[in-house]
Amino acid sequence: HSLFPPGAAWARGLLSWARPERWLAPGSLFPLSCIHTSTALQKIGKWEKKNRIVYPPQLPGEPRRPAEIYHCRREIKYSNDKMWYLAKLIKGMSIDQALAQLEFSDKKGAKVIKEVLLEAQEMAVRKHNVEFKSNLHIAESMTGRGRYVKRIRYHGKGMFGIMKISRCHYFVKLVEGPPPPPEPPRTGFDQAKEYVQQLRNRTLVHTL
Amino acid sequence: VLVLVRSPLPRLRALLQRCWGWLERGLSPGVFGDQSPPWGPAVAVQGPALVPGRINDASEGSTEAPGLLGSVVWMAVPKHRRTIEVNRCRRRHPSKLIEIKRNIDVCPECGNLKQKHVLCGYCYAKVKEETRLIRMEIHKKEGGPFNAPTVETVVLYEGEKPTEKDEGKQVIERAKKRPSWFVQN
Repeated sequence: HSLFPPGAAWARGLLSWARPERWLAPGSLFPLSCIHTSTALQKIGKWEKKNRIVYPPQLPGEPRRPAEIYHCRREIKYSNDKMWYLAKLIKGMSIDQALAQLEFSDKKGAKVIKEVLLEAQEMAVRKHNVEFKSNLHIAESMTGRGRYVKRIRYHGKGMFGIMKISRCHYFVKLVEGPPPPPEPPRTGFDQAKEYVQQLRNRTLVHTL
Repeated sequence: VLVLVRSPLPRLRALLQRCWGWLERGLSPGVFGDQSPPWGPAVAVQGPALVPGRINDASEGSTEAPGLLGSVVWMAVPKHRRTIEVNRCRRRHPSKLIEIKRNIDVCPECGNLKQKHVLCGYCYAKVKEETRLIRMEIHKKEGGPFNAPTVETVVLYEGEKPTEKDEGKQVIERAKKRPSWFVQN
């Protein structure tokens, strides 16, 4: 009589020490172990980690190493291919020129890239010891494919199509200093010189 | 799949009619010669038309889908997959890249960037905001629609009095200092 009926609280209390939810790590299906799986912040990307490298102090005679600032934005709701055109536009420009071009571009990605550049400029001045915020140029600007999601697009007469909702990432590397001068285009004279040089480099093979 | 059959040329239409006729009769296309073709209907091939000669078909009706056997119209279709190299040549051609704009200047009033043939965005937003506030004042004064007076309007800021030129005009008061860009007549 005394043991019957066991209340729900009593039954819960019996096995309360077990607590299966504590056996698994928060992010993974494997039981708790010391292995780091992708948890809380969901994997810090490689581009974000590039800002963490610390060079050893420079020797007195060495030329000054220009500051490099890496910044990116993930999962932008825009197409990778369309974003590529904007990234190609600003490659190699100074940051002021890039901001000017993006401000008057009609594309949706232009607004996003402008925000990213301004953030990166701010970061450069505050954290990366850059003296003049205009003295930066864009060394690299790239896009990456984000996670795609498939959805149904309804057509007439009961037809449907499967559309993919595409997202992209945008990566930018700012380097201190004026932008490098553009490469002069290859002339016919250069090509001829290279051809002659190739002919002169030929040797006899398998001989004395 | 939606199959569109456009109106074919007369020769093609004749060919199609012939083919349809053969199919209706269950004959192979090679059989021809001793039969004179009074066959029938001058109907185009577009639909599953019931031929009056075939009675047993009429009962069951045409169960086949309209596009399965009849539409002999060939559509242009890519034969091979375009490789990524070919695709890149097309997508990255200089005509498809975004051109850099060379008509960007600095606004002499506020210092923001502006295009040469367009008003400065910042200055325009400033003026637009002030105009909105003036319009709110007008709305408060009029009190409703269709009450606009048939005289000119003068906007006066703090510490300004209407002059003798502004005799018959409607006066709108704004409780603010006069902005530098709003020149008083």
